[in-house]
Amino acid sequence: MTDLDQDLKQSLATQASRVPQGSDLGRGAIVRGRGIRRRRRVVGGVAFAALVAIAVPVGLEVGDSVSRNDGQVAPATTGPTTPTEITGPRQVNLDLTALPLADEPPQIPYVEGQTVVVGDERYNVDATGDLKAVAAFDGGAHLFVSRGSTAELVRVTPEGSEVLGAAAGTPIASADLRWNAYAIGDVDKFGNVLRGITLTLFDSQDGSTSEINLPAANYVDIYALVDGTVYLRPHSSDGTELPLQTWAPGQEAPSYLPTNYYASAVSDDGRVIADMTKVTDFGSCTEVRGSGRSSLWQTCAQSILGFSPGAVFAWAGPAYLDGYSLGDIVIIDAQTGDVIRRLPSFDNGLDFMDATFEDSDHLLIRVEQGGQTALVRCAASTGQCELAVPVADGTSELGSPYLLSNR
Amino acid sequence: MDADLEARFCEYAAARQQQLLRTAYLLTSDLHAAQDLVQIALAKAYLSWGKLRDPRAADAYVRRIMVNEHTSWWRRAWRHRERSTDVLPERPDHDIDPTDFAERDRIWELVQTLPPRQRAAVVLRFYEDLSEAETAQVLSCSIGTVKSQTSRALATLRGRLAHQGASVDTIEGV
Repeated sequence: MTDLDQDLKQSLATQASRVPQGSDLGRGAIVRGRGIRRRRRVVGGVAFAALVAIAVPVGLEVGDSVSRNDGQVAPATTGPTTPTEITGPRQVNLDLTALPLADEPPQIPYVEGQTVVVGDERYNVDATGDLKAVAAFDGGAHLFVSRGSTAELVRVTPEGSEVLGAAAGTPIASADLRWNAYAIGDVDKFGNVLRGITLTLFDSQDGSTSEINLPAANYVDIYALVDGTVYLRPHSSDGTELPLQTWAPGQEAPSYLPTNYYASAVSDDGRVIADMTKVTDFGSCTEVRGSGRSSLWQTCAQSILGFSPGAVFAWAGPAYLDGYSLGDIVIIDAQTGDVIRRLPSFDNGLDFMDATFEDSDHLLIRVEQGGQTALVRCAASTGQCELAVPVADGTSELGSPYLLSNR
Repeated sequence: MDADLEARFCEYAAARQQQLLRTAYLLTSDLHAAQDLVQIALAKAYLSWGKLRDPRAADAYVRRIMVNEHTSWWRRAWRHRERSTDVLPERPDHDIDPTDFAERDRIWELVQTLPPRQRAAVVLRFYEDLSEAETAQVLSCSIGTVKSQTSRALATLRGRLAHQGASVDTIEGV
């Protein structure tokens, strides 16, 4: 042990010893816990587990069952194509130091350092703060920039950048990059977004915007943009989470779907949704619904986080997500629920931060390893992986060298 | 939750809250924030108390909730997570004299400048005396990440201490 190690131990012990004896926090915790339970009941016991910090107690196990509802699937009018052939290993072990660098960079927009890359175009991110998310469009991008406890929504174009307001949701792009949707709101003196946010649909073809006020919401999750229709779930500061809704310009208010769905992912054509049917402190279950919202399959082992274009595949993290990174991720046949690939995370010294499908077969994953980051491209059909960009120094905590565009 | 289970939870909270509070303070540098952090961790543990098969796992469970609750702020910033509760934490029995915490040593000052996750790694390794594997479990990351976070934190502390020393020398030499 070095002198610094010893001094550090001593310093921490000294500071800790100065903490005075507090009053009984246990009783307050019980009151608080009951409040959390009540709010969960209010929303039907359903919440998006991927977005709720729940830790899995040591010694508990989560079921790995996938059950299908064969025969209940309504015929798809524009159904996805079933993967032609699945080859290669089921378990894919990544190592950033050993993966080959591909000839092709990511075929979807991404961020490299302070530059948003959209095809051949590059837009400089002229914003101070921590860039957390980006949605690109033809001619620019909308950025979610964090500054301490607040976050701003920034639009960048070749002309420069413009702060649009306090961010009240992560911006998202349509697959064709024509549309972006984002949300902004007013903040209190602590930087908290107040109720009554504005959801905006931006059309890059003519630069026009359409807006709607969400009076009860102080945050909104935007899941998909389908031909100018926004799939959203608003949230309010009292913890109320509303089911999936849709909104298109011209509508005075978002519309609920005929049945309440607590979505965690929606396919880019709006046809397939992952519906969180159950969330407890120890498990969550998701039902994946296809055309006509018929149940395709369900799982209590994973949180479905996205679909490939046409919903051929889905990608998923563990049923419980908390902490720094996602943990192991899997690629699933979106029609059957079969796990096609499993990519171990912590066991291989990796942190998977985010992912999105590049096309109907390839998943791009933002991977951290040993203080470095890369975007890794893995083919669902073969299990082959490669670096889509060179490995770069830096990780999310101090500003990731790469980000994937949301869509 | 039945009365017996609730009584056991209260016993656990009473026995462990001071240690948890100390760790929380090292993570937050703020006593009120530390109390809030411990209380929300205990509240979540309370919800799961009946399902904890091994009471010895409770410490690891609560610690993990607490650390993740604190270090995942950045992620919460752009992905909606559970909102803060409307139930305020209980106040301590006595008012806190700010001077109680005014006397800070140089290393502690620098620890507070570390990024949240590096700081958590340092607190878990050097205060809680957790192994790298245990720290990885609490932080939900790989052992390699714990190693890199810890070594980067130590390098930062070492560098800043040297810089401070050089600055003091320069001033004294003027």
